[in-house]
Amino acid sequence: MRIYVRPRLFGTRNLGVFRDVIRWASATAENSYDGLKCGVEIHLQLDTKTKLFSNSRTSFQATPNEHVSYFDLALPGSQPILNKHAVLLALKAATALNCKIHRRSMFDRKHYFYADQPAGYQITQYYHAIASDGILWLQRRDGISSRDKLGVRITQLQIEQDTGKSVYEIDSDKSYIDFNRTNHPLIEIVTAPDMKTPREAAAFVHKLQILMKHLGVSTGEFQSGAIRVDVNVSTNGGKRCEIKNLASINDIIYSIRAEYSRQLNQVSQGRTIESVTLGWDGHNISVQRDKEGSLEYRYIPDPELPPLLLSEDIIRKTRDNQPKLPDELIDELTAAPHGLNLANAQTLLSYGLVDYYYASYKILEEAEIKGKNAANWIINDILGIVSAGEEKLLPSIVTPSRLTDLIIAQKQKTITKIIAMNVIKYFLQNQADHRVTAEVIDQYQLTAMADGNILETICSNVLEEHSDLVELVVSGKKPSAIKFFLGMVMKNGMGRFNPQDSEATLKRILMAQHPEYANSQK
Amino acid sequence: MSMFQHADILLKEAKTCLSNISSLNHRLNALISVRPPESVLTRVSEVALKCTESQSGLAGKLFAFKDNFCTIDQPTTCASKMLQGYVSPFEATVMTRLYKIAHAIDVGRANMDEFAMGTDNIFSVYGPPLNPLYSTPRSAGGSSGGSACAVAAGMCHFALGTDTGGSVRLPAAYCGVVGFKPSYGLVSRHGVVAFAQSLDTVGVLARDVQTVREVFNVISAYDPLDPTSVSNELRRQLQTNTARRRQASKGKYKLGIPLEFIVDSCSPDITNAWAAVLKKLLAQGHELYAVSMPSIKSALPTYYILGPSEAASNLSRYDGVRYGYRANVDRVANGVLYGVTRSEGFGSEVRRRILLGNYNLSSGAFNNHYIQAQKVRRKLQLNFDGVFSVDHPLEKPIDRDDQLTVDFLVAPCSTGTAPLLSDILSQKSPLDSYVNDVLTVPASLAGIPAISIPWHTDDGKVVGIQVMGQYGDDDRVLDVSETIMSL
Repeated sequence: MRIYVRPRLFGTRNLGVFRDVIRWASATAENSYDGLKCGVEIHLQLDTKTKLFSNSRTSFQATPNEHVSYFDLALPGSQPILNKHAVLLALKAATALNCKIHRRSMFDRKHYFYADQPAGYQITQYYHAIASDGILWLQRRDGISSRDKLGVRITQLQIEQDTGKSVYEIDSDKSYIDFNRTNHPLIEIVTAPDMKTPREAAAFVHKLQILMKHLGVSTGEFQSGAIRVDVNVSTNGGKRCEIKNLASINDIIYSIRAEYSRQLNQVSQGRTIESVTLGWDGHNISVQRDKEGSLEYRYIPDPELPPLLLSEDIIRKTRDNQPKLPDELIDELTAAPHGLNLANAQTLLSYGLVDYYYASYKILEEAEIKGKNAANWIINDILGIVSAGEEKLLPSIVTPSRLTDLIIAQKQKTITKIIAMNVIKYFLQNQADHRVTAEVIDQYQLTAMADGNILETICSNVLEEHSDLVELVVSGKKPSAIKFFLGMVMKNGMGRFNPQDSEATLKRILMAQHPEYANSQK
Repeated sequence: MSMFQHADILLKEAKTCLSNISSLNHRLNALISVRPPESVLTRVSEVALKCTESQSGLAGKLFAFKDNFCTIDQPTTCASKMLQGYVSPFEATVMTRLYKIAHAIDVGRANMDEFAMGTDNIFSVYGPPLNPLYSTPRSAGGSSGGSACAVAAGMCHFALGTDTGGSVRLPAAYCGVVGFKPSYGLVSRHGVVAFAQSLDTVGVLARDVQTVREVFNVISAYDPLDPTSVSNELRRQLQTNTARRRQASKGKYKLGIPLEFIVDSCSPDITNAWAAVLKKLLAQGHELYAVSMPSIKSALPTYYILGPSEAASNLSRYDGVRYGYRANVDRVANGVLYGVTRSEGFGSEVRRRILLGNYNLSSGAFNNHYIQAQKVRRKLQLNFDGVFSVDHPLEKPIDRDDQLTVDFLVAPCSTGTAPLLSDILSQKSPLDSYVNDVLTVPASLAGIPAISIPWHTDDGKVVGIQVMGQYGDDDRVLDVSETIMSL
């Protein structure tokens, strides 16, 4: 039985997923969810080069079993060697979440038999985790609508191993295991049930994703499995039920709504809520297994791993070296002198281009070029032409000085915007060419042309070639066809003539050749 | 001695070993796989010609190693059906050091109790080895029974074993050879199949202490691949300590008699031998003291909670999916996943210990059993710290009265001499074997160096005398051993 109808998916562009979130976040207020309490358990893959206890590489979608070491396969006689970079990232995450860092934490084994768990146990931190008692604050601009501020308490943050991946083939009685993901470092973040609506839960997860990506702790993406979310839901103080393995922000919202309904239904029919584990398939909520008949995990401190001891020094240094967090950056970007709107500020942040923007802004400021040029160019123009992931190259390839050279040149009408975009594409495709913008413009003769004769010739040729369409324009049947001519002129002129001049010239020629058109333009 | 003379001697010794193997191994069952003799002799010649006598005392010497040390050229089976045919893709660090640094040559894999669990080596998929000292079929001790047997039977110059609760010292005692368990963490366990990782220690067996010392010097080194390997910094400190203490003691020691080691189950052979050794030591000018360590009384149950708990954890990986034995089905209807493979692949003693371990780790028992056992273990270590005159190098020094402390402890290794295999096999309860460990587990729990020295009684018996020292005092434990062997 479908409990909740899922709306049509919003379209996606390279900004798409992020834009979706802004849309739902700023939509009308949520329905009331009286008595609802949610907590989340998030598993986040750490962005390290190598695994947690071995030096095979972390990977995503690599050839199966290509990045597997002896320890990952639990070969007899293999032993764990702790990857300190993973500890550092966990420490950064815990610090940003305002957690209490425990100077002494331990690694424990959690035992269960499953094909994707080679050792028959997972190394985690059950008894003494690295951090606890933190908090993450949400405000309205983060997507909560029922209150101004929400502090979600972090009860625990622990380091642990990821499992392998089971692969099932259709029409086969075999399943396959890929151990590439085994022993990938994870942090598990557990919150208190402080979220009172589905949107609050979604907003929390989303804010956490942005924060962790900003810190370089994790890519935080659902698609690659870098983030996995379980949600605990209870109503009116009853037992809580766990919805496991939610794979997107939308899944979080819709599954909580569905579970809230289910629980209210149960209660209205006079039944008590049992503590169960649930799954969400995109449309329906369904009971998976009894949460209470849980497995006996036989936790034991790992006998080979000494306690993790952190010095006061490293804890302090991590705090002191923490970069500006997203909230502070958004505050800065939306205030004077930058004055960006919230969406643009969030875009810069989510693409990791804030420093890039600041550097470009500074250069322009020193050159006394006023206006939101850096922001507009980056957000409206450049992000539209780079492919997914290419934006990471911008700071090093289309450096702030190269970018601002282009902006200044366009402002001075030395080049057109179209040329500028082509130069940017050129830089990205020719990374070995380290020359400054001016040299490139010179070499390829990209400067704007103002030579009226050449423009005249180009326009005449275009009109001649497409004389059939001329009729449409001058007769007034389809005046907008002039845009087609304009496009051809831009193309033939290699973008070196600015659009206003080009359109004016076209019209002048048409008016000269077709008096009736001249009359209609008066 | 010229290089050729030296080479000659090595070849002669090698031929003797190989001849002993070919004539005795069939009956004694010490080695479960044997290298072709020609290849061994070829290797000996190669090495003999390259290394001079002064370069390495072990060059060209032959050794056997317990079947739980991984090598890349033959299956490592741990005497279990579960690992039949399993060839490791990597080699144990100690094997690499013996091959590449010492230029020693192995003659084959030694028999053992399955996954190192046992005290008489009767739990082997290859059948038990026989004690070479007796014509009647007697226990060679366990779990490194094959290693002790091979050394005692002259099949090799030395052997590697592992000692978790006494598994090097006990077989050495039964077979009349030297068996040394170093301080935990000095010898790398990388590539040694784990039984109980906080207790497992690589040990050395040989007929004399000098050979044991030479092997120990080669294999005792920091290994970055072993997370429990002692650092170079600490090793340097231990060396400094040793030099200083040797100077100070000038070969005369204060020796302790641990009162809690006087147990009713000790046979007269054992106690008489113990007394005889002590008398001779006294006559040589060493001092003797009685010392008490109350926690020793709880050592055996503590070991049998902690050991099996860790074993249950370490053996969880054996499911047949990635390597090893796999049954025809992964699970029977309504059965547990991997239940069939593990029931068929593991022998009875291994299954017993896994069950015992899992029970102790289950949430109901954990706080009462496992946590309590860890606390007792800690207390035991502190008891040892309280009687040794030497500080534990990793602990804060504790207050103790210098008058009441000793340099080393001297005690028996076993409660009796090698029992008849028929007696063992007719035991009513498997627990009857567990009590054999009562004298060896204290040193295992504390991680301190301990050694078994063969003592020949006047009436032709051989008894293992155990010497224990403070953590890190390995070199001087070997010194004392040499003293006792020369008595």
